[in-house]
Amino acid sequence: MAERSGNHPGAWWLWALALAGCASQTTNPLILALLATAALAVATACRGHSQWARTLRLYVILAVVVVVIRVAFRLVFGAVGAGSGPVALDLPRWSLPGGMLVLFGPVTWDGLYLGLRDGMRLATLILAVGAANVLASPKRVLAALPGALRQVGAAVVVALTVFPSLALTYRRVRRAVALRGPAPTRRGAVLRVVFPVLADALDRSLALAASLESRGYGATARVVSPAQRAARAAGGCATLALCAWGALAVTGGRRALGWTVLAVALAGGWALLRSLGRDAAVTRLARDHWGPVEWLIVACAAALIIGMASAVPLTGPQALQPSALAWPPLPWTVVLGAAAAALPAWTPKAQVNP
Amino acid sequence: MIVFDNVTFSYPGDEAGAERGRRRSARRPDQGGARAQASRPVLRDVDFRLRPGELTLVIGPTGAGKSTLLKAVNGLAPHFTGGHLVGRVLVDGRSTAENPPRKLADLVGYVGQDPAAGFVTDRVEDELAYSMEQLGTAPATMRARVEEILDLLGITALRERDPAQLSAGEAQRVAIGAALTAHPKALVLDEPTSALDPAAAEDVMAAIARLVDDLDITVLMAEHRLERVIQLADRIVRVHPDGRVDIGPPRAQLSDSAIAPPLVRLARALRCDPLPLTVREARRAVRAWSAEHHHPVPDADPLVPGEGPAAPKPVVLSAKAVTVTHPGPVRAVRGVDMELRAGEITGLMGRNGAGKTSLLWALTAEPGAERWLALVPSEPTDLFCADSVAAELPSPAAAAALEELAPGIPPATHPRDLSEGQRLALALALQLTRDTAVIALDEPSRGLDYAAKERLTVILRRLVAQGKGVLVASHDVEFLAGAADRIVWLADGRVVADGPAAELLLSVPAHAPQIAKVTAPAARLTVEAALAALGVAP
Repeated sequence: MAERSGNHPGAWWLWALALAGCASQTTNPLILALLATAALAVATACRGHSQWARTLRLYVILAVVVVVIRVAFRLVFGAVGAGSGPVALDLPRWSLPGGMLVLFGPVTWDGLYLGLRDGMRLATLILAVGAANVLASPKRVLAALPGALRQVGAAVVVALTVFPSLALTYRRVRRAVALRGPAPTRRGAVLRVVFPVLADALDRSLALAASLESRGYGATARVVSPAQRAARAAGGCATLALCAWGALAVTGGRRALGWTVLAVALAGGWALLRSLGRDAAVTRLARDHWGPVEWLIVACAAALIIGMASAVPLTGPQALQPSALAWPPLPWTVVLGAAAAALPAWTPKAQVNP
Repeated sequence: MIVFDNVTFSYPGDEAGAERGRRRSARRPDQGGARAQASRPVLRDVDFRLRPGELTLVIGPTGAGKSTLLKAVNGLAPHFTGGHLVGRVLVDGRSTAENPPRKLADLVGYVGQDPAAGFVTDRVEDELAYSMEQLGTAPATMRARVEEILDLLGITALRERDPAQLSAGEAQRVAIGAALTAHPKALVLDEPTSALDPAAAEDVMAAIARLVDDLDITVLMAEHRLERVIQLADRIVRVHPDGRVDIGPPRAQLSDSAIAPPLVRLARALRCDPLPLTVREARRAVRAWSAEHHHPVPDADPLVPGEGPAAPKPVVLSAKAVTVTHPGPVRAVRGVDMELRAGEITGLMGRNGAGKTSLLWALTAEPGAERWLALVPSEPTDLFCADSVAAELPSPAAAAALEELAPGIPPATHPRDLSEGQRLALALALQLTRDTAVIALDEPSRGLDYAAKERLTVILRRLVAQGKGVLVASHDVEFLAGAADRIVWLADGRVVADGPAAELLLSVPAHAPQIAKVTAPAARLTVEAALAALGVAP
């Protein structure tokens, strides 16, 4: 198989999942800030020039918005999660008729702090996923999927390209609309932009669909009888049910049984995907290469996980879930782990685009 | 290879008064012109067969149903566009009735009007391989063919690029390449050169000629700018406004066609037989004509009378040190100084990506520019926001302008149902009647047939006669030869030349209009000027 330039998208996604997983395990704002910094550092250092690479700003904006909204919630519903401690802001209470809902009221410092922590956790998750998106375009990830999922993958890719192109169209249309001079009414002004943008998106997706069609998308798909289709659907459902049961068993304490069931379910799922993949005789031009750099990225992610996992035994449960009353601790293992997670910033660029 | 067996094609809801129903039906918007005139088929009794390895050109007025004809070849019409097809279309013996387009993908490569809209992947190599992947070609074969096509079309350097970021010329070549890698027996191209500058168009045409020679591919191609493609055509299919179609050798078809390149119009006026199709043939024919009529072909003489140094006209637009940067390393416009004079049509020329569009938009960025500047963008559809042509038109003057540019558009038609050319006409009508001192047009001749271009020239002439300044960015040399007084030449974001149209167009052979090449060294740009010099009434 021929190889592509750039790092394997799978490596970046594993790295990002590790970051996201670690972020979801903690409410320590110092750790979250470290993780977010690592994600941003790697994303800015390693992104290429593709249209995906330029979406990093969107994720940053989204992350900031999430934090702001979380804190604003604490202000609006301050009375509900009141918490203890000194009052930061004493807003007048607003009781809605019937006493079902109380708005505003005294806002405590630790109430705000809890909101900030929650917001930061979500924001770090967003940044981790955003970094993966920026570093490895979703199109390339989907191309690495097993054959059975590639047809679905193509549909997802088409759906994903709508957003960047919608943004481009919006800018183009707004520019063009300004050419016609001021609109007579406010509503007219909005319609003037909304209508062409939506119509253009529709035209574009039709053009893309026509292109897919005339280039043989789905041409080799074998015709599947309704009975076969039903059997496959049943197989898929059974696999999912077994997975769920296995996972429940593992968390419920019956570890050996749970892991066995999970393994069987996953093997069954894999076999099912393989058999489905044979329906469409689709081939691949080139595969992504997994080499030393990819191993290094995954190793960095593993180092982060180890650093996070060893924080509780070394520093106590306060490390990951600090109380709202004291300055949060910062275990040295986590610092090292986060530094390791930022290490891929020095790997070669993801895409060479002259 | 391609057989049309008594094909009649109509879009649904052609019964009178079904306007709204037609909007809802699943149809592509780009041949709407033909559809808009309800209750008649777009194509009627189409009956011809193309031989293997033949290159056939489809010509016809704006909105006549050329795109529908092309889409019928691989079954996009009616499988994808909707509509009703009577008769049979066969490709290599396979009928489009039983085979949807995807089942014909191994036989027919199709490249639509806007190739960039059809890109599926984010790497040129993957784009080229996409069809083969879908058809299950072995990876080793795929790689060999991708290399072959990269070489054949001269796009090896683009291999790793994102198709979305290519220039128009590059995108067109990648799209053609992507249609070819699966080794189809037929290639269908809808206006392959409409977005290209003359040099890029020549490259693409050379590549197509090579494909026909090397791979024995049957090509069916629609094109408005005949001067770019006519020398390659084995036969011409003419689509008439009523949907009837006839096919024949180029000379016979062009001898009485309303759609004819300048060269052919010159030769027809001189009654040359056989009709010359290339510049070389035309030169010989004109020399033979002058020998026969004892009328010497005029030698180099000063520019067309009246073009001499007249009193300088007032400046309506003065731009100083305009610089435009886009994200990335490239600067689109670097310090351009330009003046636009009242009563003059200034042509803005340059290769694809030279910065023409960026410069035009930079002019609109000036605060309050909408009061003195009307720009018609290259995507005219962006201007439309109403659901009918009538609602779109702000004044009776605009309606009159539209009627003059593209006669006979029903007022209830949805703007997006218009053909490419009709949409442009509507955008022009909207912007030209806004009574601004400066009018700028970006690629206005795209999708227009010769007659429509001439009407556009007349309208522009009338506007400059009212003392307005007109700036036209275009790489349609023949159009600028007839319309522009002055040419500003951009290359790499800089002005490299600025001067009278005749002088500039003649100084660069690659961009010289056909008539100038035929009549060289005399400076004649248009058929009318050349005929006047030879003493023949047009």
